[in-house]
Amino acid sequence: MRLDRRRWLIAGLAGVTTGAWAQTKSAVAPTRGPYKIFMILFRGETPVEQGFMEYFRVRNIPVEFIVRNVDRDVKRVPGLIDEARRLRVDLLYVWGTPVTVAVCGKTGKIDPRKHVTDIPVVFTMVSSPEGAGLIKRRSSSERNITGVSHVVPIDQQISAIKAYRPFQRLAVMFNPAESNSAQSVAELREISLKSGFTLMEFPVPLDDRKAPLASAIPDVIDRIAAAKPDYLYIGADSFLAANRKEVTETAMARRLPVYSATEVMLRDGKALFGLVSPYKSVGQLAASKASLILQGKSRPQDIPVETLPSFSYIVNMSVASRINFYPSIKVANFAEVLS
Amino acid sequence: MRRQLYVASAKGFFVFTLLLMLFSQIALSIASWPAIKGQLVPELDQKSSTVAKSVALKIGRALDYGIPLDGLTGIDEFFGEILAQTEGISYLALTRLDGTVMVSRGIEGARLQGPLQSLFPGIREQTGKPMSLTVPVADRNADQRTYRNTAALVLQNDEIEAAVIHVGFDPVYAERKVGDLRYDVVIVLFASLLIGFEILLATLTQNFIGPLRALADWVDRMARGDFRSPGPSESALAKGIHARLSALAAGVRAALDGGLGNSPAAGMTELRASPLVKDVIMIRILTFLFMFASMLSRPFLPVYLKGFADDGLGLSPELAASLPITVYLGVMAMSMPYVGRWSDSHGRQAGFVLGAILMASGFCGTALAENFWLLVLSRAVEGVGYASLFMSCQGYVVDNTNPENRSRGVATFVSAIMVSEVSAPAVGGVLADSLGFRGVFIVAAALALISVPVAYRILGAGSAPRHPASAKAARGQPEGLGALMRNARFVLIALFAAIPAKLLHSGFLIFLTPVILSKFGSSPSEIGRFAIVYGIVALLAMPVFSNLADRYRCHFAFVVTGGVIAGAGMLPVLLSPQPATVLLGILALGLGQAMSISPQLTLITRAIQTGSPDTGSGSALGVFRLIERVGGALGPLLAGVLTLKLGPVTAMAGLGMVMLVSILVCAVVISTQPREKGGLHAA
Repeated sequence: MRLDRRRWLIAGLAGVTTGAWAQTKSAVAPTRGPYKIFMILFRGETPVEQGFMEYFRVRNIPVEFIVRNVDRDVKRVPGLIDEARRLRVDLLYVWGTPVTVAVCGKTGKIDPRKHVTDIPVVFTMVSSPEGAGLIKRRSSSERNITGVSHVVPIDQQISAIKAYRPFQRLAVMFNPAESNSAQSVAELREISLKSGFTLMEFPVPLDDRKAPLASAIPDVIDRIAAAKPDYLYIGADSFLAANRKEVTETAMARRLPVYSATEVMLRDGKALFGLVSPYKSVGQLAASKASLILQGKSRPQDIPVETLPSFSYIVNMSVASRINFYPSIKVANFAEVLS
Repeated sequence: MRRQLYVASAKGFFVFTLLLMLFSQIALSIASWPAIKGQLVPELDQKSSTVAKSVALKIGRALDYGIPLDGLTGIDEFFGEILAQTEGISYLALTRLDGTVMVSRGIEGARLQGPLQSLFPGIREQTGKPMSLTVPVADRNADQRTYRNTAALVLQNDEIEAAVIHVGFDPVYAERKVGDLRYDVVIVLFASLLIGFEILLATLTQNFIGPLRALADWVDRMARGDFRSPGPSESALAKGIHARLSALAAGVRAALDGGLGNSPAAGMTELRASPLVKDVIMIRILTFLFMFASMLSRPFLPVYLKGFADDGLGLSPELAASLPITVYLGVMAMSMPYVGRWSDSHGRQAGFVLGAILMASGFCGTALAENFWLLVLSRAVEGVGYASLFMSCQGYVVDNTNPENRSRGVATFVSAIMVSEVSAPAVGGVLADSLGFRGVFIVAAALALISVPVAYRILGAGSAPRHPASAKAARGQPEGLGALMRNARFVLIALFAAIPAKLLHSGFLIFLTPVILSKFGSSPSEIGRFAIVYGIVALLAMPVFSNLADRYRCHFAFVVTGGVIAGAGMLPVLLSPQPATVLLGILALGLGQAMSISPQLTLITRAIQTGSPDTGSGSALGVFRLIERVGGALGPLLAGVLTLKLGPVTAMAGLGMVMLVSILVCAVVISTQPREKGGLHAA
């Protein structure tokens, strides 16, 4: 009962505050062009943006991209929101969980003065939109946002690890200050009980201001190596991704096989393997959602939040060879092998 | 004397035709057998070579990535998957270039090592060609087995020889597996003979025995002084004789009318009064056709239905499989009185045609349904169709027989049902193997439609009931239900003997047998072979037990013993869950029900006569049949729920326990009641 009423309230709120806006805007949109897309990035341009922009270019949809980078500092977001409003943009593209939360706000805590409710928002690279409090369910955000999650469902990730070689003990390293990391560790805990493997958690120590200590990374990896897990799992963790070279190279030196849930650790790091959403494809999927909104075909709340329909299994064969830990014959035959 | 005129010649014709069919079929089967066998080994050689090459390629690709031969992992699992997917292949092995076995699956590497190394180094030039390989085995039946081994080279970067893949199969073992096909051939032969018999009987009766009998009857009547003409004959064979006899009869009639005055022959009035009793033998082919169609799907129906469970229903597979069967049986039971009444008032032909069309649409719906509820609806429509067909055929028998020859008419009807029971599931299984489940339903629909023109010919437009009272009785009007429900003996036998028996029959034979056997890996044709065992046992044992029960007046003992046998037969599967114990259950069910079905009817009749003499025995029997059928409808549902909670094997034993406990309750209660009141023990 109570749940129903709450849902109804949120839907009502969304309808009054944002839905009406989106409708009037999208009704006008097709007659105008080029569309203005304001992009707020977290750590500079990535292949996601390449995929996103390419989607419009290939389809000859006239779009003007206004690209801004907060350079890992979400305090810069309010200023950029003001700028977007001044420029009367048609759509906001936001990258990563921190930026998306700063732009859109968490459900139930949305402040129309601080958060964007009047401009449609398409987010990418949010590992767990539910976990971050952005949406309640994937079929509809029930607000003026939609987007793409790049994280492969946890059960598929575990199957992918088993396919490399069966395992019993899985270590996970993560930044406890990141809500998305905490969320994925919780999911791992749950599946470890169901699948019957041992999960060992290794949070990175925080400093006085609750920021993770990069200097502690080698020490954490030493402790992990001493625990002798079958694999080290690294999820969609922004702090570890930023320190990918140090993390993966130290692990390789300790002969730890690293599974990565994100592509960057594999292509620009020395993680051993991973089942990932290719960034470019993530960008393309986000662009397909953005174009539906811009061309007035759908409202954001009518477009489901999704992950990619299929993923890439990537193996760093040079790392496999360095630590003498080769994939099973089946993986060798279907994976994308990086040498 | 006059019977010999057509019976003897028909018998000879029958025997000759069936023997001809039998021999030609046997000859055909024997002739085609070597072809099946001869193709097997070359086919498996081809398959081995394909498998070997593809495995070698995949291992080569791993080597290309820089994985050293000794660093390869997951090969055992990989081989296991291939073996599971490739029928007929016995083993897969990876060896070094000197023949040392690195990994093997399906055979112990140590046993393979020696014989395999003897093929080296020559095998590297002989790759792709099958070579004979004799391997010692720790098998009780043999100390060695000879395989055909096909090798393929693993190449690194398309040129460097790195290892060898071996694929082997045992021709003897593979042939033995294919030998199972022989059972299929025998079953098809058996079923085709039965079908041939039915068609022959129908054609012969329609075109030969029937007209000749009519002519003989006429001659008989004329001999007794009745010179009426019986109407034109349709048969070409009888037409000539008919014309001459007509002329003769006309002459005699003219002579009688003119010369001898208007007094007809003495016997004529009497003869005029007695109705001409039609032969009901033609009803056999119709009954056979629709029964055969309805039983074709028996070996796989629940397995097919299970597939609809993922339809986003929130229904477990067990319930998804059992619910449509229960709906079918329930709708059939409930609609029988209504469609029976319809068939009474609109004629048997109309009833049959309606039933056939409903049944055919039900089959089509079942075959094409993409949605679970559409499927349930189709089964319900099929149930109404079945009920209408059943009531029309039964009604036709009752209409066209008199009390003297009714039991023969009913026997004709029942034998057609039995012939379907022993042939349709087997044929359905074989068809399912080649056409798929949906295809079999289409075949069944076609059969139901084929019966429509046959029904037009046989049933005739004006086959209105001649014995409305008895037709009504056989149909089961629930009249005097209250009185019957106060008849303790009636209720006891219905609830504790008849319902559990039907429950067991439908729950075990129709639902659990396909579910359990398919779980054990049996193919539909194997399940079909198992299912007809019930019919065969019942067919053979029923007359024997029915005679014994009548002769020794031990009906009650037979009902109890039959129930105990059927119930107890479900239990051994618990100790050893395998197809053999399921077969034992089917045997026990056939035997037990053959023992109890007809004595049970005697008991019920007697319970009605002594306990509720006011209720007509016909309508009371109708109530009894309805109660039985409701029990039958609940069987799959109970079996489905038990399967959901306990698994199919325990569910089978559970149904057996229900049968055992209720029959024992029935036995104890009835034995402790005063004898004279019921008169159930002895006459």
